[in-house]
Amino acid sequence: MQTIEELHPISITIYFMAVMGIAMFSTNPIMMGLSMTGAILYFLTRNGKGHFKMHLSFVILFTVLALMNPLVSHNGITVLFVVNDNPITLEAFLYGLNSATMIISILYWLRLFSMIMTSEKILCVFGAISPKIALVLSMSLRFVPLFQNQAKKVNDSQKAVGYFQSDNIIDSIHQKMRVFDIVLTWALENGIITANSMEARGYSVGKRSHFSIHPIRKNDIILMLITCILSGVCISAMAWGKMTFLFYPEITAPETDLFAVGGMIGYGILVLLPSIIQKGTEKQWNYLQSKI
Amino acid sequence: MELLTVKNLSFTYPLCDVPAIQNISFSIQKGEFIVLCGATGCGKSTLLQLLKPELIPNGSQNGEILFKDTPIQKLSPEISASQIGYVMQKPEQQIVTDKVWHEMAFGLENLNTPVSVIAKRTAEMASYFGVGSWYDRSTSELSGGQKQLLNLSAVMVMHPELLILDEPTAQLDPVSASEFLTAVRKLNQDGLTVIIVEHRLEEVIPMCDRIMMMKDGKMIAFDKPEKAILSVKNSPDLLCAMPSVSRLYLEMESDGICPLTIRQGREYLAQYDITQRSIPCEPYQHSENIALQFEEVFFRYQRNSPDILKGMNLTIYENEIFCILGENGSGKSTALKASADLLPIYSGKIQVFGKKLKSYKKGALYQNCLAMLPQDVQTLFLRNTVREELEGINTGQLPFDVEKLCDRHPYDLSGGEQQLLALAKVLHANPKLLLLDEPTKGIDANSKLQLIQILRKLKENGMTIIIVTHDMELSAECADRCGMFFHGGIVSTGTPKEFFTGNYFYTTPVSRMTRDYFDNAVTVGDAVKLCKLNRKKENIS
Repeated sequence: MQTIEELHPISITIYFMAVMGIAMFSTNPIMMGLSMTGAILYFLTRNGKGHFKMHLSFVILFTVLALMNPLVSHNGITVLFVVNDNPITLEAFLYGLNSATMIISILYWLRLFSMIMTSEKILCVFGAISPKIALVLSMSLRFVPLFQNQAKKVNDSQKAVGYFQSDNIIDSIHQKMRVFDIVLTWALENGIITANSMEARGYSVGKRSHFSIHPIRKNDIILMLITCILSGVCISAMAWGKMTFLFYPEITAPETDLFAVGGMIGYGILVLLPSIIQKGTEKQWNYLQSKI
Repeated sequence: MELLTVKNLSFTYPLCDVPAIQNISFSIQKGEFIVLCGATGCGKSTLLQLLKPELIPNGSQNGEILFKDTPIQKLSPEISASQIGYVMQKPEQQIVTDKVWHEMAFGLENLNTPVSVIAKRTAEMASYFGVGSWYDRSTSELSGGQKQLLNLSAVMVMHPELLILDEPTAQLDPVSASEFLTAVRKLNQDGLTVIIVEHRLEEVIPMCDRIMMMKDGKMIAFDKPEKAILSVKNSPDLLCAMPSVSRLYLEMESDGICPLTIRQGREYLAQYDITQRSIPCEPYQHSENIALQFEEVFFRYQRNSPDILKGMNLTIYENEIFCILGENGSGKSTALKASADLLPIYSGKIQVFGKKLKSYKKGALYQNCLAMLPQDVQTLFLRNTVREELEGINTGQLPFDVEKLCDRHPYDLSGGEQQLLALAKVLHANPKLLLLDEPTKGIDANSKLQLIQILRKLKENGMTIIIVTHDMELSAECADRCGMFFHGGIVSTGTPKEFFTGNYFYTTPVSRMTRDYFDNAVTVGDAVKLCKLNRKKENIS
């Protein structure tokens, strides 16, 4: 069994797009709750304890976002109290709470996505779309650390022969510019060698193919199918208006029928899937290791 | 079967009067290993580029180049890209992508090869070159030697028939260079035709089938190495690059079969009747004043990384040339950077001319006191011409001439010329203590001789010089004392004669060759002197 992050980058991308897309276009509080629960559970099962600062900043952001709305928006019929002649309404408060949940859950999903999708995996996804874009990305990814490294080396060399010792801010800006200038020249100079090396290996001969070391396995197909089916159910429930939830002028929820419940259960399974797989794999590992 | 035929080839760069290549004709058989040598600027790189259609420089060309009986301009782009492999000097800049596996696949991707074939070929080549264990890594994390091996394997996945190598080991340390050349040799023995330009001829000449010698754009010899070397006896600029064994032979004899390897050299020495085993030399006297002192110095790069300097102790006296030798990545350069106050040590004491590094107030250390020549000298240049670079520097006082380079861009200079320009900049700060990090990396044999002369002159003027190097010949020629760096500190020091004659492998080729015959010969000059003191056995038929 593989965890979600060990699967093919394309199936990971599809999964995350589906989960985040549904969360973004739904206004139903139950769906928001599910998205939030799934994101936090997955974050905790994957990363364990720690990341305290990140959680804290999300909590603060959540509070700010939730409290902002009733202060700005005064729609709604249930007035709780009045501040400076401005009514603070229950509806606006709940709406704020709902959208804050949505935003924070999306932020958690995005954080997870960026943790899982290393540069190489992103490249793989782009490679499937266009080998040319993939190559340009790959070259730029290589270039940035190279450039920084050279700038550091130039600074050190200059220091050790007695240049760049001034305390004056204008002088030091001047020096920084000079280093930047020469590193740029260096980059162009080396660009010629790189271009020759590409040329020598047949670049621009014709159509390119794209090689990837990530094969598509059975589990990738299964995940893609599950994602499609579950999000399909969910999206069609949304499209039929079964999950519409209105806050203004007063809170109105549609009647919950089987279709809506189906959509919600589908989404629930979808968001909980990574945590379940993660736990399952850990159990399986422990079992396998106990046999060694 | 002839793989490559060159007929009456001449080539002139635009705006040049003198042709870079003049009327060269030769042919190369399938499976041969050819070494191309000559001084810097003799046209050898141009010749190599003319053999690879994608890299032919601008200029006017006469004559014909046939690859498997087809003129190379008429080869289809796919054939010329895949059949003629080309590896250049700089390991870093040839790499195109950010992952090792992607780099290996790059050439095949360009030819629109099906993914299953790419997977098979890269797997095969990765196993052959031992790339497998770093297949997933980022290319920027690799060492210089690994990068160059990657470049070689990225070319070999395309299954070329002819491999052209333009100074592939110039930027590598001796161990990686040796590994690289061994890989090339193995490929050659499996049937690949190789043409290589090299500065490090000591190792590559015994491997090759034929040597082509070039001078001023002309081919002056193209023959088996033992014969071709004889033809350069009277051209010192070519001779100085030959293996030490051959140089010793050419000093003593003028014809016959020139020895190339240590073993052949020993066979030659066996012809002598040895009565005088050592050169008398005076014991080395150092100055009383200390220029640089390390006391129990500890350093590590990160809090949790291992110590690089582990209680290092070292004393260097004024007005001596001290060479620090040691294996790659052992921390030699780190020690040098620490003494230039570029890295913070966490324990111990470093003193420069009797004062702690910290007591030099901001910048004072680098004014009239200490200067360092970095390993990558290009990092010293900030301007677009040599003239601007030399602004404010009194070039008349330098022990060498850089005026003639004035109108060129610093990046366009050859390795040796860049080294001179960098040295001019470093000497401008008027240092009493000069630190050099691998000064012979990427420079040819002539420039090395010139550098040795300059270092000696600087010493005469009272300078203290510390050199971190892999180059044992450099240390044997110019050092007053050598130190072996190992396991985070200097483990042994001694004059070059004591130091090198005591070692078994970590020593100069001359010392390895003469071990059983002479007691203290470490340079070609020493060996020649001793050979002249002894006589050849008479009854050799």
